[in-house]
Amino acid sequence: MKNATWLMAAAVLVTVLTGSCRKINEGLDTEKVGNYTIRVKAKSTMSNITNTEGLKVVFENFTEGFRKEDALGSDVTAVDGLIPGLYSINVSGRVEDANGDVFYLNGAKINFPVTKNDILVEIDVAGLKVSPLVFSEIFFAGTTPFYFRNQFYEVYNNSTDTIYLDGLYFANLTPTTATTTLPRWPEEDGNNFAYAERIWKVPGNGTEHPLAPGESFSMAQFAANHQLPQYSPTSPIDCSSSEFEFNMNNPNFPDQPAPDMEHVFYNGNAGKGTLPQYLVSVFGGAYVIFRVPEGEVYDPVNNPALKTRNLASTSTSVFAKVPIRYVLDAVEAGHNENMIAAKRVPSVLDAGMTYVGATYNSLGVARKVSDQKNDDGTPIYLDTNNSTEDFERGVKPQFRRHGARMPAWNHTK
Amino acid sequence: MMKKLYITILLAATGSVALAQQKSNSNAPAALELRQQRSLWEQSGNPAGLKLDGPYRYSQIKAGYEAYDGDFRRPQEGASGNRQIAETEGRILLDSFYVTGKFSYRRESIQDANFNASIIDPFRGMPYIIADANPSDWVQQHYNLQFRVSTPFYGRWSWGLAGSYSASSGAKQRDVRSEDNFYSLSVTPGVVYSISPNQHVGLNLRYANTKEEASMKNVNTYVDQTYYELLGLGTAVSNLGSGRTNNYEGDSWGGGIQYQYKGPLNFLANVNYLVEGEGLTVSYTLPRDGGSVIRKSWQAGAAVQKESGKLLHSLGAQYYNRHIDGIQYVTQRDNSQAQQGWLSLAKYIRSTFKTQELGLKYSLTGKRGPEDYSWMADVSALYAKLNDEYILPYSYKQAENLLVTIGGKKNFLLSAARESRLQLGVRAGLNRNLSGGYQYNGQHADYPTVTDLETNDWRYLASDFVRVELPVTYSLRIGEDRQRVLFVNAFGRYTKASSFGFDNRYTFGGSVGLNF
Repeated sequence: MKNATWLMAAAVLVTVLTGSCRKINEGLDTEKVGNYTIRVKAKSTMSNITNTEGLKVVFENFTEGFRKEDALGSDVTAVDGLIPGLYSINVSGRVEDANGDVFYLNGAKINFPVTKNDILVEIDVAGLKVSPLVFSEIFFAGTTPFYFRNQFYEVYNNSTDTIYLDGLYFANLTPTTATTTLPRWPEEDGNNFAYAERIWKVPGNGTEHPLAPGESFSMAQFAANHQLPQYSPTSPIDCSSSEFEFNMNNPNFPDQPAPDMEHVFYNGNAGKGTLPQYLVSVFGGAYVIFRVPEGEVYDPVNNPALKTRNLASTSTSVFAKVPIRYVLDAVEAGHNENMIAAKRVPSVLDAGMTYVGATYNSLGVARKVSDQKNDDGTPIYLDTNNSTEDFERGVKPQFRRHGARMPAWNHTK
Repeated sequence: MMKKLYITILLAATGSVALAQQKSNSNAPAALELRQQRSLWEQSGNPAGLKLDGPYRYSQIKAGYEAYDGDFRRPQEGASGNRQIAETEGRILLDSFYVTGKFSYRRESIQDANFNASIIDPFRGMPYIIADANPSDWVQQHYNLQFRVSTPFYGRWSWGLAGSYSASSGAKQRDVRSEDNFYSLSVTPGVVYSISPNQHVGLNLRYANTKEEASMKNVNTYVDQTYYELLGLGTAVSNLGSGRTNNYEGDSWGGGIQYQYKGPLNFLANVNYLVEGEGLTVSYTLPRDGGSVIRKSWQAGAAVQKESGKLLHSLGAQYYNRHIDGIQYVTQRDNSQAQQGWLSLAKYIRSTFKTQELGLKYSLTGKRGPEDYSWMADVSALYAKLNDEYILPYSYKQAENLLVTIGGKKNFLLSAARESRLQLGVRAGLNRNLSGGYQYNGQHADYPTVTDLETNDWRYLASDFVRVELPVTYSLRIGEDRQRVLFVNAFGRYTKASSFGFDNRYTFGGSVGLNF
């Protein structure tokens, strides 16, 4: 018995000694931080473009707010002065092909670990699909105290052609809030889909809702004058002139004059479900607008190939697959500048993230204007596929900023 | 075995062992103070040398109250606050073994502390904490239990063992709230070898284990709070929400060596070294390495005392050097089916925190017999240098100060009947900042962790100030046998700053207790 006691004591002592020594030794073995150099090579996936010289490469460590920008050389470009960490590496810029045509190329790697010196990173760059429709303003944060019904999304015609909105889809993606706990999707999906929680569609027969260049339209969670006493007098926005409303048939917040968006998908069904409002996270969600190419059918409710569960979860919630090639514009929003490390939108859709830094602060995000304008003075918005750079953050929400025009069919006209 | 140990500590601490009380005035506060001053082995930290200081028996129990206020403070300290303290302490000889024990309890109410939402003591050398910009009250409780045992000499050898257990709990009273629990357990075995009757050498080891858990949450769940993960010198990662769970675990190893010559002079020199490793793990369900530190501390000291029938001269020098490496991890969330957790890809020393102190002190005591004194006077100087650096992007916080203090105390014997005494003291210090600066070159220079926390912390550390302290103790013997000593003491401390717009800070307090 005495021997057993001594043996037990010795075992405990050895465990304590080795455990404590390990903790200290691991610390003592740690090297001092230094600057790293990473070699970057951009590979064009376009057959008519082989030269990527002059493209801009941006290394961003969002967690630490560190950014380093350089221009690519003809082959491999060494980018030095990088502190270790996880980086978003974006390559973008305009190049000419042999015929002198100009293309905007873009490619990215997200959450790339810079923990070794002098390694080579190869990034595929492709011609960027320039969207005729872009999100021009998004308000998701709500107004203190806890008023969230004034959320809205404004979309602008950034092209030179009139576009018919009928049949244009709007969706918010999952996860609804930026998180490092990302879902796991079926392997066979590859990188071909974004995954939507709820999908809506602009109503119409195909020609009912034209949007001319320089015009914008908005979709409101609740298209009322929020500044009325019964709602939120301090609301920064009156949504009664919104072109569309996400009506959830809530008798306490009744249907407003604005036409309703058509509901398409929620949790595998066409029905809206039991939620009393279409609330997207006040921390900021991820939003897409997309259009189904002519001749194709998109029916995520009835086509099992177009919906899936999150395989990393035991939840039975079902999400719709949105083919990335359908997507016209995507914007990802999160809590603040550091949450970009938790991106849930493929970088091909949005290489960055925008934010307002708090909830219920009555602030939104608005797309920056480019240095060009339409002939009628309406703006041409910046669209580099990176909402960190494309959006002003923390602005007072406003419809039709910078002189954008209201479509003729707005219900208030 | 453990049960017996606890009982022994508590008996020693409360003095409830039936002992023949000494007839001398040895348990008067002045006598205990004088003995403390002579106890060079006790100050060295090696328990094996306690008997060489000269064992004495006494027990003490006391309760006290302290309060503080004033704007001359570090941002993470409370704007004001108060403490209630209860302590008991004792020393006894059990056969030939000398045992000391101590237990203390402190309840602290802190008002409007800034930039701390995750740790009970933000000054304990752990830079990786959570800070928010909401000034908040904290309620804290601290328990401490200590024992020391020294064996008799077996030939030339004497052995000793010391242990301590500290436990603290704290709760932040405003969102983002935090509930914290901390413990520290230390064991210090030691040995002394007598080279001759006048010369002794000692060696002691030390092992300590610490742990602190902090769970954060919002009571008002509708309002998401901004909070910052501090990485050092103002570098921070901003977050929005209700916080997280932090789990700090640390171990430390160290030791010390001592040499004493005790003849016409009493001389003791000692050197201690301690290395500590402490890591922060964020969350229990999906743990992530949140940072770690390695602390290396050197302490060297030498003291010499010369005592005659009337005077006790004491001269001491102390050097302290602490170097902390702040280690950050590159972590990545792996959501693959096989992993589903955080991976640590690499780790680097990203910051260093250095503190150096050199102190010199001379004191002269006018004795009134072997166990009492009539007056004391001392003068001391403390040079302190702080050099904290964040390596990439490079930032620094530096301060170099010299504090000169002069003090004196008079022990009045008011009445021989009950040996009532009044000890009146005064201590004045002048601190001059010699050099320093804070420069932040990292990202987000507009964060309050830079503009408020670190900037004001540096201003505090680099301030000139004058400090005056007045301690008063009244004691008398009570009871029919006059063996117990009742004492009441009070103190007031006032610090007047003369830099960066700071005004003052004052602390006052008192206690009542019984020595028996």
